[in-house]
Order: sequence, then C-alpha cells, then structure tokens
Amino acid sequence: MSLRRMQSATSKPHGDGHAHDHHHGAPQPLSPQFEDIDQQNESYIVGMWTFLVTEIMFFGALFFTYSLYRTLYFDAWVDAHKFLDILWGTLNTFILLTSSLTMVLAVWAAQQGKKWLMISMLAVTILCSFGFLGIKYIEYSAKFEEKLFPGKNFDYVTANRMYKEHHGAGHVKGVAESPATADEAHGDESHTDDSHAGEAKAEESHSETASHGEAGHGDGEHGDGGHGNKLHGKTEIGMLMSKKTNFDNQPKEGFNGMMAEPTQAIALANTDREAQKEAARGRRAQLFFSVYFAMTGLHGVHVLVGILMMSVIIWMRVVDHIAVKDYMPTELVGLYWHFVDIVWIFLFPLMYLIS
Amino acid sequence: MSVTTFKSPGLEVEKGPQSTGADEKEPVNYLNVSNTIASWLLTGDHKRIAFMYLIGISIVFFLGGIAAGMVRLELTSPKGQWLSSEAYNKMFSAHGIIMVFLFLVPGIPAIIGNFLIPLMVGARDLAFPRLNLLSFYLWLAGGLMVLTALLFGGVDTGWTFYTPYSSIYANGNVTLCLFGIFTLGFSSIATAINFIVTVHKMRAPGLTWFRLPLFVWAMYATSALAILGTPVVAITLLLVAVERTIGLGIFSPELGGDPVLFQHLFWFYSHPAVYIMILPALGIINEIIAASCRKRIFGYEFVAFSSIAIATFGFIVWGHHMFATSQSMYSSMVFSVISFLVAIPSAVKVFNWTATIYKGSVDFNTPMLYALSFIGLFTIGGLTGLYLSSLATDIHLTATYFVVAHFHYVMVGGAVTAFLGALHFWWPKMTGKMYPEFWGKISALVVFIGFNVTFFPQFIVGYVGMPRRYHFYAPEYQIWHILSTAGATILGVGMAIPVCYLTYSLFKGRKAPQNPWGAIGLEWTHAASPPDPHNFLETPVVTWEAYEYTKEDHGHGHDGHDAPVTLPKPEKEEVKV
Repeated sequence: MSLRRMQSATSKPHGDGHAHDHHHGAPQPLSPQFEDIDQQNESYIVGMWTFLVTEIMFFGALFFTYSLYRTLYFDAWVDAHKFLDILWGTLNTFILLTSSLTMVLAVWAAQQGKKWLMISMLAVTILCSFGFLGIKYIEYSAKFEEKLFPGKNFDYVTANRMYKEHHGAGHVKGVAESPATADEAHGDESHTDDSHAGEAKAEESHSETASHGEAGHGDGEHGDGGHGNKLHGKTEIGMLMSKKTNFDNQPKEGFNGMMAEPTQAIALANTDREAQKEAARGRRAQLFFSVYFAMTGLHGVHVLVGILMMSVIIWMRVVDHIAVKDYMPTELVGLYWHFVDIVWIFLFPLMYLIS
Repeated sequence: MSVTTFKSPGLEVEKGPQSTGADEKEPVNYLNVSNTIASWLLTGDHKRIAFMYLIGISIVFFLGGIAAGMVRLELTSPKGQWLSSEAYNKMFSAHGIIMVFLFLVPGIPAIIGNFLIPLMVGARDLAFPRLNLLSFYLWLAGGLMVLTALLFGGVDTGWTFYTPYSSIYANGNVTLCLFGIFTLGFSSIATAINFIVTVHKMRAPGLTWFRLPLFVWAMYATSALAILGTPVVAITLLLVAVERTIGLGIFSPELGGDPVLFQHLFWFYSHPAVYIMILPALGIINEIIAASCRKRIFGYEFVAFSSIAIATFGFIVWGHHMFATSQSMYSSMVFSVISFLVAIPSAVKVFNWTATIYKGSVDFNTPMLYALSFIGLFTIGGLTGLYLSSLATDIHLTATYFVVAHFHYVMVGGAVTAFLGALHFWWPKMTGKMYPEFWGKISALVVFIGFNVTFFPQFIVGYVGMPRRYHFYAPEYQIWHILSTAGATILGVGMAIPVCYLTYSLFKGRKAPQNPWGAIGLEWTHAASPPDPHNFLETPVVTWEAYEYTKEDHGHGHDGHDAPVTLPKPEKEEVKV
C-alpha cells in the first residue's frame, strides 16, 4: 500500500514523457524508504560527504603524526626524503590529476545519459589508477632493494652508499666520500653479534678497526646485519657494545678520508658525537619511512578500492543493471575519487618536497 | 520521468494481512511478516536489524559479565584465588575490551537507536538499509575476531592497548584483536552515517529540528562523535597492528617515535567514545521522564543543545587522561579547565530532568525507576569525574580504583541503567508484549542496590591507595574488595532477572497495546506494537511540538490498556513540507 504510494511519489519529474531525459539520464530507481528521487539523491550525497569526513579524520591522524615527527626530527627527515624519487612522484601527481579530469568527464557523461562516454572515461580513470599503482610499485620495490623498508632489514648506511653510487659523490651529507671508506662504514654499521668480541678490542688499537670493519661488512652482506638488526632482537649488552664500536670506528669515514691521523683522544670525542648523530639519523630515517609507507600505503589501498568501485560500475553499466542507469553511483564514486586525489596532493609535497 | 521500484532486502515484503494465513487476527507487523531465516539474516528492516543486534549484544554482554565476575572473584583474596597473574591480566583486558568495544559503543545506538530513529522521525526506514545490515555484519565479524583473539591466546594489554607494551612486548593475540576492533570501528561509522543522513533528510513533514524527540538529538550528537572520532582510533590501532606484523615503527621509542602520541590519538577517540556511550543514555532518560511525568521536558532547547555542547567539549578534553604522562603542564591545565566545562551541559540535563519531575504526575513504572536511579548514579559518576579532572587530586587518584569506580558509575550506572530502562520502556513496541511490571520493579531495585554495593567501595579503596589492574594487593584492602564482589553478585542477579522475564514475556507475555504509556511520540501515537514493516501505514504529518502533554493527560492511568492520548490538534499550525 505505502509502497505503491511511494512509487508514484516523484516530486520533480524531469522531462517526463521524453524517452531520453538528458538531465538525469535514465529513469532513477527509487528505494522504498524514500519519498521521492530528490530526497534519495540528497541522502546519498549527504551520506557520501559524511563518509568523506570520516576519511579526512582517518588520514588526519596520520597527517598529525607526520607533522609532529617532522617538526621533531626535521634534519633527519630532510636527509631521508632524498631517497624518494621526485620524478616518479611528479609523474604520479600528474597521472592522478588527469584521472580526476576523466572522472569529472565520466560524471558529466553519466548525468547526460551518455552511456559509452561514461564507460570509456571511467576506463581511462582506471587506467590512470593502474599507472599510479604501477609507479608506486616501482618506487616501493626500489625502497625494498635499498633496504629502506622499516624493520629488521632496514639499513640506512647501505641505502646511503647505494644512493651515493647512483648519484655521485659529495651529494649526501654524512656519507663517506670514497667507495672504499663507504664500504668500511657499512661494515661498521652492520656488526653482528659474532664480531663483537673482536670489536671491543678495537677501542685499544685503532689500527685494527679497518680489518674489523671489513669483517663486519662481510657479515652485513649476509643480509641480516645492518641497522635494523641492532634495534631489534639484540640484548642490551649487545646493543651497548655495538654502539661503542660504532663510536670508535665510525669517524674513519670522515677522518681517514679527509684528514691526517688526529690524536686519539680527539678522534674518540669526535667519533662519539658523529657516530651518535649518524645512528640517530638512521633511526629517524626509519621513522620517516614508517610514516611514508603507512600514509602512501593507506592511500594506495584507497586507490585500489576506487578501482574496484569503478570496475563494478562499468560492469553493471555494460550489462544495463538498473542500479547504475542513473548518474548517482558515478557521482558518488567521483566524490570519493576526488578525495583520494586530494590526499595525494597533500602527500606529494609532504613526502617528496621536504626542505 | 519514469520511476521504477528498486527492491531493497526486507522492504519488498508487502504481502498484506491476507497472505499471512496462519494468524489471521494479528495484523501484519515486522516480526510476523516473514519467518524464514534468510528474511532475518538478509533483512534491510531497521527493526529486525535492531533485534539481531539485541541478541548479539546481549550475548557479548553476558561474556563480558563473566569476565568481570572472574576478576571480582579473584580479588576476594589479596594473593589471588586461582588465576595466574597473566590469566588475571587477560581477564580484566577481556572484560574491558568486550564491554567497551562490543557492548557499550554499539549497544544503545545499534539496538535502541536503530529501532527508534526511523520511528521517531516518521520515516519508513533508515536512509541506507543495506548499509545498516552491513554494519551489523561488520559488528559480527569484528566481534568474532575479538572474541577469537581473547579466547585463543588472549590479550593482556588492557582495553587501552598502550604502546610500547602492546606494540613490542605483549604476547598473545593482540594483532587479531586490533583488527577486530578496526572492523568494529567501521560498523560504528556505518551506523553513524546512517543516523546522520536519516535525521537530516528523512524527517516527516512538519517535524522540524525543534520538534524532534530529545533522543534523536542525542543520537545525532553521538553519531557526529562517532564519525569524527572512530576513524582516528581505527588508524591508530591499525598502526599498532602494523608495527607488530610488518614492523613499521611509528610509535617505537627506539626510532624516536612517541608512545605518548599513541595515547593522544587513542584518547582523541576514546574520550569522545565515553560520550558515544553516555549521550544515547541521556537521550533515553528524556523520553522516559517526559512520558512518565506527563510533562514536556523542562527547557527542551537547552537540553537539545546540551547534547551538542557535550559532544563539542567532549572532543577537546582527551588530555585529561594523560595528566600523569610527559604531557606539558600547560596543556594539562587547559585540558583540566575544559574538562570542568563539560560539567555544565551535563548539569543542565540533570537540573532540567529534576525540573521536569517537579510537579509532574510521576508514574513509578519500571522504566521510570531506572531513569531515577540513572539520575542519581550519573550525578555521582559525573561529580567524581571533577575530582579526576582537577590536576592535583588526579595525581593522587590516577590509575587507582577511584577511576574504576568513577567510570563504572557513568558507564554501568549511566549507560547500562539507561539501556535497561529503554529496553523496558520500548519492549512493548519492539515485541508487542508487555513485561511483568512487578518483576521489572524488583529487578530495577536489585540492580540499583547491587551496583552501589559493587562500586561505592571502590571509591574508598581507590582513595586510600589501591591501584587498578593489580592482581595482588595489600591485605588491608581486602574488606572493600569482598564488599565489591558481594555487590557484583547482587548485580549479576539483578541482570539475570530481566533476561528471564523478558524472554518469558516474548513468548507468553500479555499483548501490548499500541501506546501502553500514553506517551507522545510518533512511535507511540502513529505506529502499531509491534510496528508495520514500513513503520507507518501512511507518512505522519507532524503539527505539534515535542512532548506536548496537556493538562488532561495528567493522572490518566496507563496500566497496559490504551490510554487516551490527547493528540494535538492538526489545524494548529500550517505544515511546511
């Protein structure tokens, strides 16, 4: 009874009598809980915006985290962000902005009832999204390769060395000047438990450190050495020892390369400070990459969800499913997609353009 | 333009009375309209979803209650009874996690709110019935994940999941539990979006914002809190889970991450979550008091805005959970002052209820008994909150049983009491059956006594220094713990009585009239008990103010028979559609 009343209750029949209504496209299905189409459409729009508010808060927590840590560890973050490839980032920004344009066109086509234009525009949007994710994949795998994914395998020194090899010497602060010393530095950073006993002695005999460094380097090559290893899963004494040896050995990268032998006392004092700085910078860099992967990863998941929704709409539209004959589903996905774009518009400068 | 019917699950059933052959005399309603299991599990009807929530939430409430009982039994002796300390930690964590995330947060909104909001705003259903069903299944999935985590492996972090304990050190099934809570968050968000859209867009003609029942205002404020807060805690707990699994160390102190940041993000949701739990309760009390005193709520607009004010202030006081951390002293001072401000809108409500009761013709039915005990307990809970929001006393009272007693006065004495009141008040509407009034009054009394015996001693034992979450304690505290456990036993009995007679009444209860309380409100005056699958046979047109009880209403008996309700005169005002 009430249902029948509902069915006839369209308040604003746009262009009734026309087979091709060019404003709202196809006949709109009306869910029985609504009085009329306008109420239904407004409800959908309000619902989507409310959902986007939750999304803003969702990312908002991460942006807050980002800004806190960036303020606290600004130098380390400037240093760490150099590993992000601005070219890829810019290209991705361009791709996403293009996809926003095609999305707008898709929504417009849906409103005009132009079925195939809408489908093709959505398809282009999906292509763009895959392009975006593809580039993200390239970037992510590069990070894995450079040992910049946080966790046990995180190794900032190796990463720095690789970066330097690719970008030429003198580019990077706090990284060795010559390949040989870089290797040593890496060794120093990646001592494993086995080498500790020997390294304790290194304090006494400075000359021994080079060979120890080599040994350490060898261990590091096995893959489980490195910075991350020191942070996780070592006993406290182990950590202390490795720190100590670091303080001792670290400076060689600076001093051996550039200066004549300094007196031992000065060397120790300076090395302490330098090594501590270096270790801290590595840890902060790991924090940076934690935030980077959390934020871009979450954004990537949103892109995936967008692809899923667009694919469903395309498929349903191709088989002429009643639910998508109308422009509203496309409009809602469009709102969502613009939100995803805007998040990236914030992410790009915050991650790639720190200075 | 042509309009086609879009079939939504549950709503397409429009068989009419003639097709329900079996019981000819009973008009079609949402319960008897179809009886297949699929018609329940795939329903889009907000009333059926509310009913499924009622069953599910009652079960988890029972489980959380068992965990609480174990904790209380364990604490009767200063050296513990039979649990290991680890098992004890897992037990109180299970109690907290179940009660907060599975019971209190979804409880009143998903059961009472789900059932009532469309009825109160004169709509056929919520705006998005399938989203509503999805939220139920998200709740179910999240709940099962949490329960699995708690039963297999257990979680001993407490319900707060503080890092770095939860992220680095805690054993057990913390990750699964966190994913479960993450899923539950989406359930909350879905429900909240539905409520907000429904209140904005689906109100019946003539039902302006200031004609809405105050319960709807409260639910609106609650939904706004859920929308703004839930995503933050969802992402925060997700980050902890991610730190445990793939090693992103955002809260890791080793990397320079800040565990206090976790606390900030956690309480940014979890303090408003306290209002997510209590605001619907505050809304319920308005409805019960207005109907049982037969008066318009004193200062309707103030009460409505006090809900909004509580929601607003509730968002900027989270720091009062961190007075004893590294938080700066100055922000603590600001948080302290704002926390005091929350007392103002809360007090507005309490004073206005008191003023409503004053010179009303009060009917001491079961819901009203619950409402009266709510006012007392909520006041105690609220005022002891002020002890905790003042900086100096908080340093003494932080993490003691005083805190435990305080939030149980608000959560159990407030939210659970109001929930029980609401369940009794709307039971005739939900089920079409009357509950036995005598047993209802008995249970209200037993719950009130049991609750106070349980939690009042905890104020004292906390004040004299007993820390919360301790397994072993100094022997001089034992007497208070034994008192508390005795009270918990009474409280348990008080909770068991309604379960028995409500279940009984479901099958054997007296048939409920449409409006047993003679109350004013669309759900009473325009919808049958139980309501039609589409709530109203025709969309109501509202021409009267909220709670427009007239003088003649005073003293009308409403003892189960249809009380004559003075329906407002339709011509009173031009209806704006």
